[in-house]
Amino acid sequence: MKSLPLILSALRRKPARTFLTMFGVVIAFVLFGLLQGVDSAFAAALDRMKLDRLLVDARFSQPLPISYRARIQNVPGVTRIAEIQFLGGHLQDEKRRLLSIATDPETWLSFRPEYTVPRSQIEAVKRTRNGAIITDWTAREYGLKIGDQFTLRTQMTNVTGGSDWNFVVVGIMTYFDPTQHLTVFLSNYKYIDEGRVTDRGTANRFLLGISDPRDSTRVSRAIDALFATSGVQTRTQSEHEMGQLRMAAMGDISFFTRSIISAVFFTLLILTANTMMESVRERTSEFAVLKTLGYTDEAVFGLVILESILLCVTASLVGLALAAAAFPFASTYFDTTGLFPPVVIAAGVGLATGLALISAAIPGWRALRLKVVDALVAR
Amino acid sequence: MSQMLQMRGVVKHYTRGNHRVEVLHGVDLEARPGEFIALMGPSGSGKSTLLNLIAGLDKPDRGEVVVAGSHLNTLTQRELSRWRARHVGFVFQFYNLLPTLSAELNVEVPLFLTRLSRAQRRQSVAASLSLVGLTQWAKHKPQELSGGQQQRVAIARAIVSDPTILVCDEPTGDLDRATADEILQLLRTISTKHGKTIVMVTHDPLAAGYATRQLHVDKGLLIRSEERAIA
Ligand SMILES: Nc1ncnc2c1ncn2[C@@H]1O[C@H](COP(=O)(O)OP(=O)(O)OP(=O)(O)O)[C@@H](O)[C@H]1O
Ligand SMILES: [Mg+2]
Repeated sequence: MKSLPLILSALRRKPARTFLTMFGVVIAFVLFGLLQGVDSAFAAALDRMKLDRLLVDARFSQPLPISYRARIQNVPGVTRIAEIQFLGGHLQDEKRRLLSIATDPETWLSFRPEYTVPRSQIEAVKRTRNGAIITDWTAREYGLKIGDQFTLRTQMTNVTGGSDWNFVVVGIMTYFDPTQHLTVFLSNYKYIDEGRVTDRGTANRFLLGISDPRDSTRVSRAIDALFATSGVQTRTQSEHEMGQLRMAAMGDISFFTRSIISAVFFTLLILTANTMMESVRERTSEFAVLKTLGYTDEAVFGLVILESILLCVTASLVGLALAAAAFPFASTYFDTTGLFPPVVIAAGVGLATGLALISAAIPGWRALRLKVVDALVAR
Repeated sequence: MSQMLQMRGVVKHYTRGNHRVEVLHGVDLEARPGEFIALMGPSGSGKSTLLNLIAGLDKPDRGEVVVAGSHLNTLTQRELSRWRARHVGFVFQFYNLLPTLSAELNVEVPLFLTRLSRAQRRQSVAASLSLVGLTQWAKHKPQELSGGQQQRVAIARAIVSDPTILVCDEPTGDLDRATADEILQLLRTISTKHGKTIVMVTHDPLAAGYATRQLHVDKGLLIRSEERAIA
């Protein structure tokens, strides 16, 4: 970037104007950063609440008939469903407790992106009747690895007459937060259900996905209505009941922040566009000189664009940095995490670049079209 | 190459509104390498226009302009830009320095267009500034320099990329007699010692006296030219 001195010199030409323009950009981006930061921290928090997932439990802790599965799947808005049977127990050592989630592991994992499992291991558990996918924590703490067999001592009698269940480790799932001590493991529903002697053909719960999180209340009601007169009634709820209420508020906040940001940036655009327009107009003869010296029309256009980008993007970074610094304080009012979402910085820089390009387009075009002979004669 | 500059039958007009201004009506001009030519003539006679054509800033309506071996008529705008960067140095009446850049950065500007390294650029800039006698003023901004010093910076900028031809439009038009003489002396040194061809427009007969040849432009024609030996 050899021509950097030229661009800096352009910005230094009217320091007060450059400073004021940058100040305006900084303020706008502090506002943008804070509003947008709260907005997306909020969205992220809601996302973690998994509002697109519903849990169907029995209303009075009875086993749920597995036949419900197909009927629930037919409710409009339901995208996918997994049955869950819990089976708790321990290894030889009583302190080494484990809880088996007997399910369709592939579907279950699709609801839990916080776990990562290699594709091949998902295939392996599908193939292996008594296969188990344990957590990385379990693997470490209990010294289990892929291929190892283990016996889970439970309270549930199986067809052998005893209550020991044998599993083979075919996969290890990694949880996003390594500090959690997770003793759950995934197994095949079929293995447990066909192996047990009581309550066959039932499940403890259904986990289901819906296409639109805002539909969760309607879908929940529809499911519960379906079984209202059955022997086993259901109680369907979102994984996070509170979240459902916030969802509505969220929409309002987003609209509000977007309106403010649009208004601010429209004003800002007028400011920066005017600065660039003046800056280029004042320097008509300078551009003519540069062209005389051998700068092509495109090179001069590039100088104007880069000047605008330098002006807007540097100031936006300052603004975003201030917003990030102030974010932990602002976020306490909104019950979100204190972490400034990086996506906001990316969006901010993108916005600043767009602002710069729009502001510089017309003056840049004028500089490009400038004819040396006219500019130097008409002094 | 025997001729540095050849113009044959050059015709140029401008249109202002729907008004046609005939500026040059068939100019023939030749210059050898190392010649120092003064172009004189009344205001509006077409001196600057002629200079712009020589410098590849504009194209003639008719006729041929060959400078440093290039037929300027055949070059595109982009090629002309490159050609200027390589072959032409400019000195203007009002110096036209970039006000926010130091003297040395002003001199470096044409070198931003070259492939020279930073060190090489610095070296060329230092050599140029030393030639015009402004080494001590390298870090100063134009507004901290006198008119004569600013014009020296402009000359340093014009020669820094070692052009083949120097075009100067009234380089002393804004300077007092003594300063003008210094500048003209400098230009003559650049012409004799460094072998640069110089075409200079001037209204001042004393300034024209520094040149090896004086040409007069009148009503769009080169009407008189006289060879002169250097005193
Ligand atoms: N870019 C242009 N557009 C329109 N007319 C022009 C342009 N450049 C020059 N002219 C006209 O052409 C004529 C010659 O102009 P030119 O600048 O070459 O004269 P000059 O001899 O340099 O005069 P001066 O001594 O005042 O600088 C003038 O009438 C001028 O108005
Ligand atoms: Mg002129």
